[in-house]
Amino acid sequence: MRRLALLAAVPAVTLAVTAGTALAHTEVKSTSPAKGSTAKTSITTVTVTFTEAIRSGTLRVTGAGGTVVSVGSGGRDPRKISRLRVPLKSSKRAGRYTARWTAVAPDGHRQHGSFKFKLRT
Amino acid sequence: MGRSIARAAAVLAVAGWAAVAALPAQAHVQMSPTEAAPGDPVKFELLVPGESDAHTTDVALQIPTGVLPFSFEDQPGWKRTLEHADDGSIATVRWRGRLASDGFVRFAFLAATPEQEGDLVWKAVQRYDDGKEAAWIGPPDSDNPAAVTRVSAAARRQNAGGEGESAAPAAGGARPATPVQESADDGGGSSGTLGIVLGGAGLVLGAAALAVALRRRPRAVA
Repeated sequence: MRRLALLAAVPAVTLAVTAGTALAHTEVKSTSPAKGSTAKTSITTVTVTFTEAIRSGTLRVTGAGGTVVSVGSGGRDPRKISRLRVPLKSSKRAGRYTARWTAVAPDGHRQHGSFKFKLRT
Repeated sequence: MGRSIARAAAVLAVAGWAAVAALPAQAHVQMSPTEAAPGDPVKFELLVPGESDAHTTDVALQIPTGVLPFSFEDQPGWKRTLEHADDGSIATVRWRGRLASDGFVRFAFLAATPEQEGDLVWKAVQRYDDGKEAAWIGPPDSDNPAAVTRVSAAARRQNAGGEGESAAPAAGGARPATPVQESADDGGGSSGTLGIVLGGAGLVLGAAALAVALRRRPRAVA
Protein backbone atom coordinates (compact mmCIF):
# COMPACT_ATOMS: atom_id res chain seq x y z
CA MET A 1 0.00 0.00 0.00
CA ARG A 2 2.78 2.39 0.94
CA ARG A 3 4.61 1.60 -2.28
CA LEU A 4 1.44 2.15 -4.27
CA ALA A 5 0.92 5.59 -2.74
CA LEU A 6 4.50 6.57 -3.50
CA LEU A 7 4.02 5.48 -7.10
CA ALA A 8 0.97 7.70 -7.34
CA ALA A 9 2.89 10.68 -6.00
CA VAL A 10 5.42 10.70 -8.86
CA PRO A 11 3.09 11.42 -11.82
CA ALA A 12 1.06 13.87 -9.76
CA VAL A 13 4.12 15.93 -8.91
CA THR A 14 5.36 15.69 -12.52
CA LEU A 15 2.01 17.05 -13.71
CA ALA A 16 2.30 19.94 -11.29
CA VAL A 17 5.77 20.85 -12.57
CA THR A 18 5.07 20.58 -16.32
CA ALA A 19 1.84 22.58 -16.08
CA GLY A 20 3.89 25.54 -14.88
CA THR A 21 5.33 26.24 -18.32
CA ALA A 22 1.97 27.59 -19.51
CA LEU A 23 2.56 30.65 -17.32
CA ALA A 24 5.43 32.11 -19.33
CA HIS A 25 3.19 34.52 -21.24
CA THR A 26 1.36 37.76 -20.85
CA GLU A 27 -1.77 37.84 -18.71
CA VAL A 28 -4.77 40.13 -18.58
CA LYS A 29 -4.09 42.81 -15.98
CA SER A 30 -7.39 44.69 -16.20
CA THR A 31 -10.26 45.47 -18.50
CA SER A 32 -12.46 48.53 -18.97
CA PRO A 33 -15.26 48.13 -18.10
CA ALA A 34 -14.14 45.60 -15.49
CA LYS A 35 -15.37 42.04 -15.88
CA GLY A 36 -18.88 41.69 -14.48
CA SER A 37 -19.21 45.40 -13.74
CA THR A 38 -21.86 47.87 -14.82
CA ALA A 39 -20.93 51.00 -16.78
CA LYS A 40 -22.88 53.80 -18.44
CA THR A 41 -24.18 53.52 -21.99
CA SER A 42 -22.20 56.69 -22.71
CA ILE A 43 -18.80 54.94 -22.58
CA THR A 44 -16.92 55.31 -25.88
CA THR A 45 -14.28 52.57 -25.73
CA VAL A 46 -13.56 49.13 -24.32
CA THR A 47 -9.98 48.22 -23.41
CA VAL A 48 -8.04 45.16 -22.26
CA THR A 49 -4.70 45.79 -20.55
CA PHE A 50 -2.08 43.04 -20.36
CA THR A 51 0.89 42.58 -18.05
CA GLU A 52 3.35 42.73 -20.97
CA ALA A 53 3.63 44.37 -24.37
CA ILE A 54 1.52 42.88 -27.13
CA ARG A 55 2.36 42.75 -30.81
CA SER A 56 -1.19 42.95 -32.17
CA GLY A 57 -4.71 41.86 -31.40
CA THR A 58 -8.44 42.28 -31.96
CA LEU A 59 -11.34 43.30 -29.73
CA ARG A 60 -15.06 43.07 -30.50
CA VAL A 61 -18.08 43.85 -28.37
CA THR A 62 -21.53 42.35 -28.90
CA GLY A 63 -24.84 42.89 -27.17
CA ALA A 64 -28.16 41.06 -27.06
CA GLY A 65 -28.74 38.81 -30.06
CA GLY A 66 -25.14 39.22 -31.17
CA THR A 67 -25.52 42.87 -32.21
CA VAL A 68 -22.06 44.30 -32.78
CA VAL A 69 -21.58 47.60 -30.94
CA SER A 70 -17.83 48.01 -31.52
CA VAL A 71 -16.42 49.87 -34.54
CA GLY A 72 -13.91 47.88 -36.58
CA SER A 73 -11.94 45.00 -35.13
CA GLY A 74 -9.93 46.94 -32.55
CA GLY A 75 -6.18 46.91 -32.11
CA ARG A 76 -3.26 47.95 -29.98
CA ASP A 77 -3.70 51.29 -28.26
CA PRO A 78 -1.20 53.73 -29.84
CA ARG A 79 -0.75 55.27 -26.39
CA LYS A 80 -0.01 52.04 -24.53
CA ILE A 81 1.95 49.09 -25.89
CA SER A 82 0.26 46.62 -23.52
CA ARG A 83 -3.35 47.62 -24.22
CA LEU A 84 -6.02 46.63 -26.75
CA ARG A 85 -8.80 49.09 -27.45
CA VAL A 86 -11.86 49.39 -29.65
CA PRO A 87 -14.24 52.35 -30.06
CA LEU A 88 -17.96 51.78 -29.46
CA LYS A 89 -20.95 52.98 -31.44
CA SER A 90 -22.90 55.74 -29.75
CA SER A 91 -26.19 53.90 -30.29
CA LYS A 92 -25.95 51.49 -27.38
CA ARG A 93 -28.80 50.41 -25.20
CA ALA A 94 -28.78 49.33 -21.60
CA GLY A 95 -28.17 45.61 -21.30
CA ARG A 96 -25.60 42.84 -21.19
CA TYR A 97 -22.52 42.91 -23.41
CA THR A 98 -19.69 40.52 -24.18
CA ALA A 99 -16.18 41.61 -25.21
CA ARG A 100 -14.07 39.04 -27.08
CA TRP A 101 -10.36 39.58 -27.67
CA THR A 102 -7.37 37.97 -29.34
CA ALA A 103 -3.77 39.01 -28.71
CA VAL A 104 -0.35 38.08 -30.08
CA ALA A 105 2.57 38.32 -27.64
CA PRO A 106 5.98 39.52 -28.90
CA ASP A 107 7.17 35.89 -29.04
CA GLY A 108 4.26 35.00 -31.35
CA HIS A 109 2.15 33.31 -28.69
CA ARG A 110 -1.57 33.73 -29.50
CA GLN A 111 -4.19 34.03 -26.81
CA HIS A 112 -7.86 34.82 -26.67
CA GLY A 113 -10.54 35.38 -24.09
CA SER A 114 -13.73 37.20 -23.28
CA PHE A 115 -15.52 39.01 -20.49
CA LYS A 116 -19.01 40.28 -19.85
CA PHE A 117 -20.25 43.58 -18.49
CA LYS A 118 -23.50 45.55 -18.28
CA LEU A 119 -24.45 49.00 -19.50
CA ARG A 120 -27.16 51.19 -18.00
CA THR A 121 -28.35 54.65 -18.90
CA MET B 1 43.73 13.92 -55.32
CA GLY B 2 42.30 13.34 -51.86
CA ARG B 3 45.31 15.06 -50.37
CA SER B 4 44.91 18.18 -52.53
CA ILE B 5 41.26 18.46 -51.50
CA ALA B 6 42.30 18.21 -47.88
CA ARG B 7 44.92 20.90 -48.46
CA ALA B 8 42.38 23.17 -50.17
CA ALA B 9 40.01 22.65 -47.26
CA ALA B 10 42.75 23.56 -44.79
CA VAL B 11 43.54 26.75 -46.72
CA LEU B 12 39.85 27.68 -46.79
CA ALA B 13 39.56 27.02 -43.06
CA VAL B 14 42.50 29.31 -42.33
CA ALA B 15 41.09 31.99 -44.65
CA GLY B 16 37.76 31.73 -42.87
CA TRP B 17 39.45 32.20 -39.50
CA ALA B 18 41.34 35.20 -40.80
CA ALA B 19 38.09 36.76 -42.05
CA VAL B 20 36.40 36.23 -38.71
CA ALA B 21 39.39 37.51 -36.74
CA ALA B 22 39.57 40.60 -38.93
CA LEU B 23 36.04 41.73 -38.03
CA PRO B 24 36.80 43.48 -34.72
CA ALA B 25 39.52 45.49 -36.45
CA GLN B 26 36.76 47.48 -38.16
CA ALA B 27 35.85 48.62 -34.66
CA HIS B 28 32.29 49.54 -35.54
CA VAL B 29 29.34 48.61 -33.41
CA GLN B 30 27.44 46.04 -35.44
CA MET B 31 24.07 44.31 -35.27
CA SER B 32 23.21 40.91 -36.61
CA PRO B 33 21.20 39.79 -38.44
CA THR B 34 21.30 42.46 -41.14
CA GLU B 35 18.11 40.98 -42.63
CA ALA B 36 15.04 39.78 -40.79
CA ALA B 37 11.46 38.77 -41.61
CA PRO B 38 8.54 41.01 -40.58
CA GLY B 39 6.51 40.09 -37.51
CA ASP B 40 9.03 37.49 -36.44
CA PRO B 41 10.70 36.85 -33.07
CA VAL B 42 14.39 37.31 -33.91
CA LYS B 43 17.59 36.81 -31.91
CA PHE B 44 19.52 40.05 -32.32
CA GLU B 45 23.15 40.37 -31.34
CA LEU B 46 24.91 43.68 -30.82
CA LEU B 47 28.68 43.44 -31.25
CA VAL B 48 30.61 46.12 -29.41
CA PRO B 49 34.36 46.26 -29.99
CA GLY B 50 36.66 48.43 -27.89
CA GLU B 51 38.45 50.88 -30.15
CA SER B 52 40.54 53.15 -27.99
CA ASP B 53 43.09 52.80 -25.19
CA ALA B 54 40.29 53.42 -22.73
CA HIS B 55 37.76 50.90 -21.46
CA THR B 56 34.15 50.88 -22.63
CA THR B 57 31.92 51.16 -19.55
CA ASP B 58 28.50 52.00 -20.95
CA VAL B 59 26.61 50.98 -24.09
CA ALA B 60 23.17 52.45 -24.79
CA LEU B 61 21.11 51.01 -27.64
CA GLN B 62 18.01 52.80 -28.96
CA ILE B 63 15.27 50.34 -29.89
CA PRO B 64 13.73 51.28 -33.26
CA THR B 65 9.99 51.99 -33.27
CA GLY B 66 7.95 48.84 -33.77
CA VAL B 67 10.62 46.49 -32.40
CA LEU B 68 9.46 44.65 -29.26
CA PRO B 69 12.27 43.11 -27.21
CA PHE B 70 11.00 40.40 -24.85
CA SER B 71 14.04 38.53 -23.55
CA PHE B 72 17.68 39.42 -22.88
CA GLU B 73 20.73 37.20 -22.56
CA ASP B 74 22.71 37.69 -19.38
CA GLN B 75 26.20 38.94 -20.05
CA PRO B 76 28.49 38.26 -17.05
CA GLY B 77 30.08 41.45 -15.75
CA TRP B 78 27.45 43.68 -17.37
CA LYS B 79 24.35 45.16 -15.77
CA ARG B 80 21.33 45.87 -17.94
CA THR B 81 18.73 48.62 -17.47
CA LEU B 82 15.69 49.42 -19.61
CA GLU B 83 14.26 52.85 -20.35
CA HIS B 84 10.65 53.04 -21.51
CA ALA B 85 8.83 55.38 -23.88
CA ASP B 86 5.54 57.09 -22.97
CA ASP B 87 3.52 54.21 -24.45
CA GLY B 88 5.35 51.72 -22.21
CA SER B 89 7.48 50.21 -24.96
CA ILE B 90 11.21 49.71 -24.43
CA ALA B 91 12.99 52.78 -25.84
CA THR B 92 16.59 52.18 -24.76
CA VAL B 93 18.57 49.25 -23.42
CA ARG B 94 21.68 50.22 -21.46
CA TRP B 95 24.49 47.88 -20.46
CA ARG B 96 27.08 48.93 -17.88
CA GLY B 97 30.31 47.07 -17.27
CA ARG B 98 33.98 47.26 -18.14
CA LEU B 99 35.48 46.11 -21.41
CA ALA B 100 39.17 45.38 -21.89
CA SER B 101 40.69 48.02 -24.20
CA ASP B 102 41.39 45.31 -26.78
CA GLY B 103 38.24 43.36 -26.04
CA PHE B 104 34.77 43.12 -27.48
CA VAL B 105 31.42 42.15 -26.03
CA ARG B 106 28.18 40.82 -27.50
CA PHE B 107 24.74 41.64 -26.17
CA ALA B 108 22.05 39.26 -27.40
CA PHE B 109 18.30 39.70 -27.04
CA LEU B 110 15.07 38.36 -28.54
CA ALA B 111 12.69 40.86 -30.11
CA ALA B 112 9.68 40.85 -32.41
CA THR B 113 10.26 42.73 -35.67
CA PRO B 114 7.60 45.16 -36.99
CA GLU B 115 4.87 43.80 -39.27
CA GLN B 116 5.90 46.26 -42.00
CA GLU B 117 8.97 45.95 -44.21
CA GLY B 118 11.65 48.63 -43.95
CA ASP B 119 15.00 49.44 -42.37
CA LEU B 120 15.59 49.22 -38.63
CA VAL B 121 18.26 51.76 -37.67
CA TRP B 122 20.06 50.76 -34.46
CA LYS B 123 21.50 53.91 -32.88
CA ALA B 124 24.04 53.12 -30.18
CA VAL B 125 26.23 55.26 -27.94
CA GLN B 126 29.39 53.79 -26.47
CA ARG B 127 31.05 55.53 -23.50
CA TYR B 128 34.61 55.04 -22.26
CA ASP B 129 36.08 55.45 -18.79
CA ASP B 130 38.15 58.44 -19.97
CA GLY B 131 34.94 60.38 -20.60
CA LYS B 132 34.98 60.03 -24.38
CA GLU B 133 32.02 58.63 -26.24
CA ALA B 134 31.39 57.18 -29.66
CA ALA B 135 27.91 57.77 -31.07
CA TRP B 136 27.05 55.17 -33.72
CA ILE B 137 24.16 57.13 -35.15
CA GLY B 138 25.25 58.18 -38.65
CA PRO B 139 24.21 57.01 -42.13
CA PRO B 140 25.73 53.76 -43.49
CA ASP B 141 28.59 55.44 -45.40
CA SER B 142 29.66 57.74 -42.55
CA ASP B 143 32.54 57.33 -40.10
CA ASN B 144 30.11 56.52 -37.30
CA PRO B 145 27.38 54.44 -38.98
CA ALA B 146 24.38 53.14 -37.07
CA ALA B 147 23.85 49.43 -37.69
CA VAL B 148 20.90 48.59 -39.95
CA THR B 149 18.66 45.54 -40.17
CA ARG B 150 16.51 45.31 -43.28
CA VAL B 151 13.06 43.90 -42.58
CA SER B 152 11.97 41.99 -45.67
CA ALA B 153 9.42 39.26 -46.35
CA ALA B 154 12.14 37.49 -48.33
CA ALA B 155 14.28 37.02 -45.23
CA ARG B 156 14.35 33.71 -43.39
CA ARG B 157 12.01 33.49 -40.42
CA GLN B 158 13.76 32.71 -37.13
CA ASN B 159 10.92 32.30 -34.64
CA ALA B 160 13.60 32.73 -31.98
CA GLY B 161 12.28 31.80 -28.58
CA GLY B 162 8.82 31.76 -30.07
CA GLU B 163 6.37 28.94 -30.34
CA GLY B 164 3.83 27.42 -32.66
CA GLU B 165 5.57 28.38 -35.87
CA SER B 166 8.35 26.33 -37.34
CA ALA B 167 11.75 27.92 -37.75
CA ALA B 168 11.91 26.65 -41.32
CA PRO B 169 12.09 29.28 -44.07
CA ALA B 170 8.63 30.33 -45.14
CA ALA B 171 8.06 29.83 -48.86
CA GLY B 172 6.92 32.99 -50.60
CA GLY B 173 6.65 34.83 -47.34
CA ALA B 174 3.60 32.80 -46.35
CA ARG B 175 3.20 32.63 -42.61
CA PRO B 176 2.42 29.27 -41.11
CA ALA B 177 -0.65 29.25 -38.93
CA THR B 178 -0.07 29.37 -35.22
CA PRO B 179 -2.28 27.18 -33.06
CA VAL B 180 -4.46 29.19 -30.74
CA GLN B 181 -4.19 28.27 -27.11
CA GLU B 182 -7.56 27.78 -25.46
CA SER B 183 -8.45 29.91 -22.51
CA ALA B 184 -11.37 29.76 -20.16
CA ASP B 185 -14.21 31.75 -21.66
CA ASP B 186 -15.47 34.68 -19.64
CA GLY B 187 -12.53 34.26 -17.32
CA GLY B 188 -11.13 37.69 -18.00
CA GLY B 189 -9.31 35.36 -20.29
CA SER B 190 -5.79 34.07 -20.12
CA SER B 191 -4.20 30.92 -21.33
CA GLY B 192 -2.52 30.27 -17.98
CA THR B 193 -5.77 29.33 -16.22
CA LEU B 194 -5.77 25.68 -17.29
CA GLY B 195 -2.13 25.34 -16.33
CA ILE B 196 -2.73 26.75 -12.88
CA VAL B 197 -5.71 24.46 -12.28
CA LEU B 198 -3.83 21.37 -13.48
CA GLY B 199 -0.78 22.36 -11.50
CA GLY B 200 -2.83 22.91 -8.36
CA ALA B 201 -4.58 19.56 -8.79
CA GLY B 202 -1.22 17.88 -9.29
CA LEU B 203 0.20 19.40 -6.13
CA VAL B 204 -2.80 18.36 -4.05
CA LEU B 205 -2.69 14.79 -5.39
CA GLY B 206 1.04 14.61 -4.84
CA ALA B 207 0.80 15.86 -1.28
CA ALA B 208 -2.03 13.44 -0.48
CA ALA B 209 -0.12 10.49 -1.90
CA LEU B 210 2.97 11.44 0.05
CA ALA B 211 0.98 11.79 3.26
CA VAL B 212 -0.47 8.31 2.79
CA ALA B 213 2.96 6.92 2.08
CA LEU B 214 4.54 8.50 5.15
CA ARG B 215 1.75 7.47 7.51
CA ARG B 216 2.06 3.89 6.33
CA ARG B 217 5.78 3.86 6.90
CA PRO B 218 6.79 1.70 9.88
CA ARG B 219 8.38 3.52 12.82
CA ALA B 220 12.09 3.99 12.38
CA VAL B 221 14.28 2.09 14.82
CA ALA B 222 15.61 4.55 17.41
